[in-house]
Amino acid sequence: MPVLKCPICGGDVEVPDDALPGEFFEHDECGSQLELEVDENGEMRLKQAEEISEDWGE
Amino acid sequence: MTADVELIIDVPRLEEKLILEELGKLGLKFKLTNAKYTPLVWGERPAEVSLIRAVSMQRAAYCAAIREASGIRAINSAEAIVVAGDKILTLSRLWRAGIPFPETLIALNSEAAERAEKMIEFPVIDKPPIGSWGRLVTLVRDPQSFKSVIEHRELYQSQALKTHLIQRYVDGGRDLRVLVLGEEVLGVIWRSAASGDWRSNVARGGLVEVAELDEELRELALKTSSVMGGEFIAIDVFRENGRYLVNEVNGVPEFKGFMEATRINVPRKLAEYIRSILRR
Ligand SMILES: [Zn+2]
Repeated sequence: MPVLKCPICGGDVEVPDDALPGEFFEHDECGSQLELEVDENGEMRLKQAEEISEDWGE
Repeated sequence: MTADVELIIDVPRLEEKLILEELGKLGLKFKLTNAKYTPLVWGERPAEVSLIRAVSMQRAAYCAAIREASGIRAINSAEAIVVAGDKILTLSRLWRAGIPFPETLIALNSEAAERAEKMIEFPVIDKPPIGSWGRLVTLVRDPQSFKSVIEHRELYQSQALKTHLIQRYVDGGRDLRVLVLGEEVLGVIWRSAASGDWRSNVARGGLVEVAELDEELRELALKTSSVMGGEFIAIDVFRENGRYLVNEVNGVPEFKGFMEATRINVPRKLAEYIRSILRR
């Protein structure tokens, strides 16, 4: 499992191998909601997750 | 090269991973499109079928509309997503088709809501026309709390969030969720609220258990799905004094809880359904 940096607290975050671009993760250590971003070269990084919007749901 | 299926997502959940897995097992060629990072253009044909799984209703509707315009079969259609995504549009469809739902008043702003107070009997459910997972859905027991609900909703910028559906409260602590795929009713579960919460959404930690699908419910579900113009639809239903009342319809249904309770492999069913369309 790849280990990425939390952009909020700087700690390590383990991301599962089957993680998809856009997937949300909660960083247990600091409680931040993070989002996996994959760039054109396939590099993965975490950023602060997009906020839940009023039209989200099922 | 054109794929068989395009899976359009924004925030992928367990459901989307399971769908990808089952598409792969059936040997269908798929393309994953995250609508948050991908510019969309008309005329592009990445696949024969686009399975729309964005959690944002607006994004889901726009993706479906663009793909449909380009000759792709969108599941669900933009129309079904838009109508299911707005509870006032949904109830209007249901009413026209003679499908029963709990008595509901619509107030398009605070003034109308204040006047509606004299026309209703408490307790009622107050909710906005858009959104899900129980957000801003309030059980209102008396006029005083109704006033504070109206004041609170007035604070939002969004016109939709200032709009009230004021609905008779159906007691019972649980509702039914029926899942329909094409012409098939996949099954039905009971959803109960987690203790201390009267909302039964699985996303809020509600409990699920398998329920019995009788002929009346099967027909109601198929009719509802058909008037919504949907292919993969979840219908939330109350059971009250021996009759069924539709509560909500979902155009991009979640199905974790349903799978847990029924042991039905919903992503497998979806993949098989898409394969049957491709063979036609
Ligand atoms: Zn952190």
